[in-house]
Amino acid sequence: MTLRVALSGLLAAVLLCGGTAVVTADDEAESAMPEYSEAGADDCLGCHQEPGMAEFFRSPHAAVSDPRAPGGQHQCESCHGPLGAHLPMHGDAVISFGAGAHTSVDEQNGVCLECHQDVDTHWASSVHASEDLACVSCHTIHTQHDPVLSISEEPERCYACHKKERGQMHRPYAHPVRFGKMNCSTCHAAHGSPADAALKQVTLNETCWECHAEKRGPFAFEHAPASEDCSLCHEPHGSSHPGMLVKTPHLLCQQCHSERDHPSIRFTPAGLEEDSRSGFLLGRSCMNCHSNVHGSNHPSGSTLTR
Amino acid sequence: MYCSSYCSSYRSSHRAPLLAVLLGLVPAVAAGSDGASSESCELCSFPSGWYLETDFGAAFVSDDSFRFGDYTGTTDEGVYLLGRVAADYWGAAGAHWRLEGSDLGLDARRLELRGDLPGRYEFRVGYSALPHNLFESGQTPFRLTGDSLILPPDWQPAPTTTAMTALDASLLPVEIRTERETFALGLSLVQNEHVEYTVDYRYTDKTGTGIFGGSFLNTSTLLPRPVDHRFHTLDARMVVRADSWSAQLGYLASIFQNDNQRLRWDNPFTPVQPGADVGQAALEPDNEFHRISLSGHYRPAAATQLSANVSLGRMTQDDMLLPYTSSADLQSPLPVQALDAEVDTLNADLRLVSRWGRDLRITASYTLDDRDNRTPVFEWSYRLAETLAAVPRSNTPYDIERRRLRFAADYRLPLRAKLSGGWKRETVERNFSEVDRSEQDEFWTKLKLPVGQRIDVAVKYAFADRDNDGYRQLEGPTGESLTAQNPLLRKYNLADRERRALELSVFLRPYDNIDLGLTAETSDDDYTDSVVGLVSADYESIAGDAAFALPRGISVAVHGGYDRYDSLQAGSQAFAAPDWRADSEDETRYAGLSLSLDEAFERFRLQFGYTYSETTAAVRTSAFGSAEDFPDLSSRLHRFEASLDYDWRDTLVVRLGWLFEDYVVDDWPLDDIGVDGVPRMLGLGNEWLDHDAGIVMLSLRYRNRR
Repeated sequence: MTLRVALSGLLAAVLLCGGTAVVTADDEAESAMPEYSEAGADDCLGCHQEPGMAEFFRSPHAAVSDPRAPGGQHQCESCHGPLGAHLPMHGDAVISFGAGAHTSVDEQNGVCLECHQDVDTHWASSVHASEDLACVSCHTIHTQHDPVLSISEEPERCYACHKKERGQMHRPYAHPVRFGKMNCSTCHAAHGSPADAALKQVTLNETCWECHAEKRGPFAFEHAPASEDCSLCHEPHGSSHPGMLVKTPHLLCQQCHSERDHPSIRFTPAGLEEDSRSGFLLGRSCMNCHSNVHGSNHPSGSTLTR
Repeated sequence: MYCSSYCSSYRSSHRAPLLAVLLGLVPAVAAGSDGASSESCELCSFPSGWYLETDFGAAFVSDDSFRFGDYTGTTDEGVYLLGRVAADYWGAAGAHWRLEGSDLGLDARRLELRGDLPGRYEFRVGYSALPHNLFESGQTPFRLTGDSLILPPDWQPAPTTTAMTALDASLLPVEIRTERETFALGLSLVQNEHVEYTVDYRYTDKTGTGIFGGSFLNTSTLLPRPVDHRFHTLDARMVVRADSWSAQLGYLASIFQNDNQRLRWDNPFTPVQPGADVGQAALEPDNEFHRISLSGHYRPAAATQLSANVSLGRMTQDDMLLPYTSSADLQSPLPVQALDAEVDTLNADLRLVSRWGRDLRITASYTLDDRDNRTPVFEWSYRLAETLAAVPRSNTPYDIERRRLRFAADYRLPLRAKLSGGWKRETVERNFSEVDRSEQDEFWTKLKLPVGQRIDVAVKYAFADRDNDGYRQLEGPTGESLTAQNPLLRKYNLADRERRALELSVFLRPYDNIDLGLTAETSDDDYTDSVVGLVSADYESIAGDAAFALPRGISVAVHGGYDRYDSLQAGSQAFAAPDWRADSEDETRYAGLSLSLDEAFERFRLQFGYTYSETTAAVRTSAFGSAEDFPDLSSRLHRFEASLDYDWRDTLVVRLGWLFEDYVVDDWPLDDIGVDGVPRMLGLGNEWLDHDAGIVMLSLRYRNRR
């Protein structure tokens, strides 16, 4: 309760103090705003005939029919700012994007978020925003085909920063990301989300159940960790163990199970010898019997064997 | 909060009253209403008509390999058709259609049609198929009849697999594989620049054969179970946007249907009790999940933003229950014929981000995830192994409430440096759990330290301390003692834990055409109060990459890395103090190279890629002063890919492609076990085999214009 009061107080304080000064700054800036060009894109394209520029007109941003798109507004100037101050100075007055741009990341992103307000919902509090990522750090704007929107090409963009995940995806048991059949945004919301790890759904399990709804239940007999958090047993980025388990199952299960009637057994390599092979170790290990490990809807299923 | 002065001006000139926006009364803004008209642009090269690019050809697969065909469908040696299409049509007023398909001749194929008039509508129709080869070379004596796995009439049950005299003669091959086919429909409508509606429906049919472990006390049988799953997902959203706020109202329906409610199987072993000759297990029950959600953000001032999300969901399941046992002579009445299980979920999240001045940014958030399991509780007079009456037990519908409170701040220092820090408290409350309440405090700090304009260094340190309010033996809903656990055991998701983590990242751009990156991290988990169970876990990783853009369109990229997860756990055979330990060590090494020559030759383009990945999972178990090592679980992959494009005509490109994989795997739980290799477990003989397999591809690409 104390924490909730503290949070409420903080909210009020920030609302009162945080924004006021900046509103004033915006008002001052507005009065000095340069003017938009009367000829629109013709003024820009007169000089900017770089290779590939024609590709821009196949991109969604060029759509004239969309009043929300740059093409339906001020064309180039919708994103790059009014041309007024640019022509005499050649380069410094427009808003520029990408690595080495003189425009700050906040200003670059502000231009994008001005139209992409749905992204804005969780962007400001996202990890990517706090890491000062520009939209164009991931997105390619002047093309019809933005690689980061492609299932097969997106992961390479993500690996640029999330380097270890590239190796994890090549482990023998992994989601088919390296085959181009899934991508990072199948599970993650790069623009932020209410969930931890920027997951697409509000919880980890709801994200997993998007494709694995058969494991959702609710079952008559639940397995507590399966109902709580799939990642307690599974490594979604890839594992050396079948089923993407975090470790070999006879040890994984014994991290939580040491029952009187089903004792915690020290299994040894002797259980692999031809004349004494152990069903506790081989095949599916504990799941040779406890097959309904995600939950059972059988009235005799309390031990998850039915 | 991020926008420039230009944006502020735009916002103020397009401000719409809230009520008008909600009622959809605000008309669309005319294109270029206070600037130039796009339609008069003379230099704009808007597309029109057809743009077609399609590939057609054949591929030859050199060897049979179940793993090589995983997620692709190139399982068998032979010739496959190759097909790809990307077709666009731009019509009047900007209407656009796109047909896109890939791998059209393979089992893993995808086709999608989109049509849109930007700013008005978009529709989507899609189809995809994805095969997943689980294990190869399986064999089984069972025949599937309806939902029953039947043994041959001459089968003689035996106490062990080696004594099953009819086994060899009755084995049939079985493939453990599934395939997902997905059909998708979607429609988005833009009412005006402020209001948009989107509906997506997806139907997935997952069919094939999986594995189910059927047991009778001390024997088990790996069964080839049928998989006939259907998934329906409907996701509808309405988005309302205005200058300083947005809101999204959503509805999600997820329905799962299983064509097989149960699995029956003949017991191949000598029954331990009369009546234990047929097993019966429940397969995944039909279930539904419905959720409504409201989310949005509000920006009271340019430097402050509030965002929130509230989701209310309900999971239900009311499949008819199976009887306690497959034996007609041992039936007893069920407390209820269908469980009518129900779980309500509430997820709420409130976030505040505010910038104070130019350099300080603070964030605060509160998140609640509540799982309220309203499934009724009954006492079940259940039977073990279809026959043995056991002490009745109640079901334990789990409630979980997780609350997180976070504060974080970052401060920009001179020379692009930034100092960040934060605190997070996570409180989890559970029922039917050894721990009623656990609380974790996490503190972290991060320093980003650019060195000049071309080097960025960042270091992050985090410490988290999780404590619970007492660990006790588990009790059921009516106070009955559930199976007693060793009192020294601490389940690792409930146990007290201290976690320390350190991350380092370095990004360099020594020249404009060279990017180098390196990340390293280490973490150390110490389960401070755990005597039996997971005691400690360490993780470390290092990864690097480099990209070079050379003259004449040549680009080279390399990457490599290593990670290791090491954990220590203790157990007790004596149900007392620990008398054995196990040390697990999982390692991954990987590297790769890609080379692209796009413009080095006038009519040729060449691409080459190489991937190496090696994993090992080692286990050392020790007791009474002696230690023994399990064999390593290991895999090693070398993968080579190359393609050569030749511009034959303006509209035709010939592509020659090659892909080769050398894969070696050692998986001791499966390797060489066979069907009868374990005396009390009748297996499927399924395992992974090494492969050296390749594909040679020849295709012709046609494009009607560049």
